[in-house]
Amino acid sequence: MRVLCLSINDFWLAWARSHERAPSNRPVILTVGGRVRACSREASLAGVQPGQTERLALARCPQASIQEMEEARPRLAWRQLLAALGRFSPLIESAREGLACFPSAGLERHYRTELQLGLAVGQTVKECLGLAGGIGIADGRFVAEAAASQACPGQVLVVPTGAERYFLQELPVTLLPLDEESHRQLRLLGIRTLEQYSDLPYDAVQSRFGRPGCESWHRARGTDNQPLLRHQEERQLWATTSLDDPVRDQSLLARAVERLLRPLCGSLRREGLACQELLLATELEKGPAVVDRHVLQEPTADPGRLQAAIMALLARRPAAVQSLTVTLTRLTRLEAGHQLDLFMERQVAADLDATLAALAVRYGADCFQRARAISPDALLPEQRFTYERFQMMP
Amino acid sequence: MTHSWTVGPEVIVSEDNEGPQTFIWAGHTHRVATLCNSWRVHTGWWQQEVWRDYYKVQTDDGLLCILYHDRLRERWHLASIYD
Repeated sequence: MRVLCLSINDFWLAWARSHERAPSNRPVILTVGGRVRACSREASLAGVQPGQTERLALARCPQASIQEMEEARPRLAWRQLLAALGRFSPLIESAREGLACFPSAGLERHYRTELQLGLAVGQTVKECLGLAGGIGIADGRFVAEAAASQACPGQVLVVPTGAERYFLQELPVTLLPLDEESHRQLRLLGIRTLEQYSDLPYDAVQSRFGRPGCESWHRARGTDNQPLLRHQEERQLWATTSLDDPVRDQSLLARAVERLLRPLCGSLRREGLACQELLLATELEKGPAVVDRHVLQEPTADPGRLQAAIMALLARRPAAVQSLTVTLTRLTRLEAGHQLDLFMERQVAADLDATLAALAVRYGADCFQRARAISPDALLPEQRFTYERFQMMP
Repeated sequence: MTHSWTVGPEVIVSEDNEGPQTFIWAGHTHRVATLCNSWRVHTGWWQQEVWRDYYKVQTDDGLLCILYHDRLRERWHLASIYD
């Protein structure tokens, strides 16, 4: 199956450099809540890794520029790109931002050649994101993805049918979707290229790396038959309002937000839904429009809680507000949204013990055992927990 | 409810190169429909060696469970059943 793959290496970084004025001549570290989320190659070589604290990252790479990562706008732009790619194919797979695939068989008839098709996709990407990505076209998703990752931004790399193994042979084994431990073992074994990996006996790969290793073995040989999975466009509800004059007063803003939320919450309630995340796009009197994202602790359709979250976001904006757009995302069934208590109420626990004691009298205490965790991360199940004989509460 | 054993009941398994094909547990023969995952645990060689191949399988009657092959004793056991 011919597949076209679009890959924008280091998507978040590319976005920050293109749209957020992150410097291109210095290492860049992107953070969220004081922790590193992404970093440039130079910073990575200096020892910066995702998950580190901002302070540690700066100690490892003092010359780096640290920037708070903008998540909402790039995500929104990526969604718009996926919608735009829908005119090439109805089946778009996107495992993460910066990577998208779709079957391209037959499309070359509309675009004369596969190269022309790739260039048309590249143009769409440029228009939607303002970024250029590498594009690979090949038989199978893995080969297309490998080709896209090797292509320079804006370049189209077409791998002819039958040349997959030849194309893959010199590429690094790190392209394979294996876990960190497997990659470490491959490094220790001196296996650097996909050719070396595909030359290993199948039995040995199965024995050492299990099922993921076997799948990767087929991929390294260019025989990847994994079907593409359709990207499910998330349902969203949104509403927008423009204020006649720029408003700074919190009580007036609260009233505008309340009006905005009324129909949205009505729709949620009618359909028995709750939202888990909201996006607030604010057009300010001075400066560019900003998009804020807020993840709710528990899904809700309650206008009061949504309003409180929005007002907290608005309080961060010192300038007067010209217009507001609220988007409710990650919609879920209302009844599935309640967080269960982690710590049971004492009365409930006492009732359970009383019930268990009654059952023990009826069926005998030997019928019941209490599971106790010993070492939840142990390799062997018998070391993780133990069953203890049930003893009635005094 | 998920059922986990500390040392699971022994089962009779027929296998091929890919892994288990059928297993007999509690008098019933279960045919493996999907092999979801497999991994090896080889540890404790300095003390009490354990060498097991684990298989997460789904049977054709919808049972999702974990089997392991004890390589040292050449026996198969059922480790968990998911509900």
